[in-house]
Amino acid sequence: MTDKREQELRAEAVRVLTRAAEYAQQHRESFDFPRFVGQVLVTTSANLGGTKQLMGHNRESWEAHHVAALSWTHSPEANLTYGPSPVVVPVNVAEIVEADELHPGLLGLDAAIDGIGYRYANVKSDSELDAWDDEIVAVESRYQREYLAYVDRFAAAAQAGSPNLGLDAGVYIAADTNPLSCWWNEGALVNPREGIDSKVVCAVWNFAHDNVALPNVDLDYGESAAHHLSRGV
Amino acid sequence: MVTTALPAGDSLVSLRTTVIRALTMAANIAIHRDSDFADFLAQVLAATAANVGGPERLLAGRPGSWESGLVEDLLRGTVGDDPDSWWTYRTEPLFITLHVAELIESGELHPGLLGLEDAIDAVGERYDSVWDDEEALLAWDVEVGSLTQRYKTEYANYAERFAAAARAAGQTMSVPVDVIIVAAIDPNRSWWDELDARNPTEFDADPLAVTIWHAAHDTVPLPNVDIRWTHMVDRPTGERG
Repeated sequence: MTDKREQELRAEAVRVLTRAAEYAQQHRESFDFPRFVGQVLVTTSANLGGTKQLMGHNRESWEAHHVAALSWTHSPEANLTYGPSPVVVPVNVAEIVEADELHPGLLGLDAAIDGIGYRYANVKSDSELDAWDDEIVAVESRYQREYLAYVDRFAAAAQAGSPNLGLDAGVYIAADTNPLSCWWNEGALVNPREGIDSKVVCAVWNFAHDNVALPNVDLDYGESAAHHLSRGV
Repeated sequence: MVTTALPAGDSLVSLRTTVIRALTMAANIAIHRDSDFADFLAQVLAATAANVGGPERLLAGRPGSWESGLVEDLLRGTVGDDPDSWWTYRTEPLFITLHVAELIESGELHPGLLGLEDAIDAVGERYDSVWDDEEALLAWDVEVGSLTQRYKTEYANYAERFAAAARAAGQTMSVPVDVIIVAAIDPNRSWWDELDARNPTEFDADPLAVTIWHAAHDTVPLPNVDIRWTHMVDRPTGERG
């Protein structure tokens, strides 16, 4: 990531928060900007794996104390506005790809990197090692891009389908787009479970999942194929 | 022009999704670089506050909530309490309303000037007893037409002078601000209804917009409109020179 990228993200965040603040000025009875910021930080924090991860190694600054307080006091299940509450639908893309239940043929990022490793198992020259590195960087970049794009499609589908499901207040997607998400850990943001999460959340999730294209990830060719590939077959 | 709704495509859901994505990516960058995400967020909020007229206006909706307290502390710590400093964080152009009819008619700034309707009434007073005089009625019509056209031209020209002066004032700030004047130049445009766009005041507008509005107002010549002659007209005839 470059400084330019960081500047672009800063500009985008300022632009969007400014629109939200202007909306708040026009709708003071129904929309609370500081609370909006708190909700945004809760999901941002969830995307990173928690408040500690959000703060990184800089947890002692005075800014960090305030941001941490804003981000950990909310629960994603709490009411999100003072008006009708939108339905919060969690999406963990890594879980969709890696858990065998829905798409057993797809490879998560770790497995995809291992798959590249098979093909470079016997290389020794610097140029081949460089090529190996390049391939890993490319696959990491592709996975990050694809997971984000998938959530965009997923959110659009969920929001488009929400009126048909009687959700007047809309749908709010809380997404973990990290290709290396540890979705199996306790407390991780995971996809909804039938019987545990509400039927509405599951219905919206299933509707969106069934209507959007999966991310362009690597496929599992099985061990024999990987072995052949490693020999250049 | 006053924004009363989100621009097309900027639903609250999409705003929320977009800002979460940007902050998540920024936090990821911060983690990998060992930089400070909280500082990043503080700067973003400072710029947001500056774009809407400062911390007080940003938090005006529900002051006193715990979220509001935390955001306010974050803002004050970043931009300071000096009202002359926060606007330097502004990243967006400053939109300032100019309502020429309000300026002329409201009586607050220029009580001696006549709006178009009053000016037409004043013309009518001079033609009070001409109902059966075709020639005089025609002259009356011509005078009203000419007056209306003058007001339209003068209001439009005034808005142009005002906009140029406001843009120049924005550029003379220590951190230059791009100013965009949103002008209502129709002499018949209402300004007294709740939903009408109004000239900015210290009670309801971005303080920077108020400052620049007055800087422009104090610089440019007023439109050539009619003047209220009430005092002279009311004076007893015997006292006139």
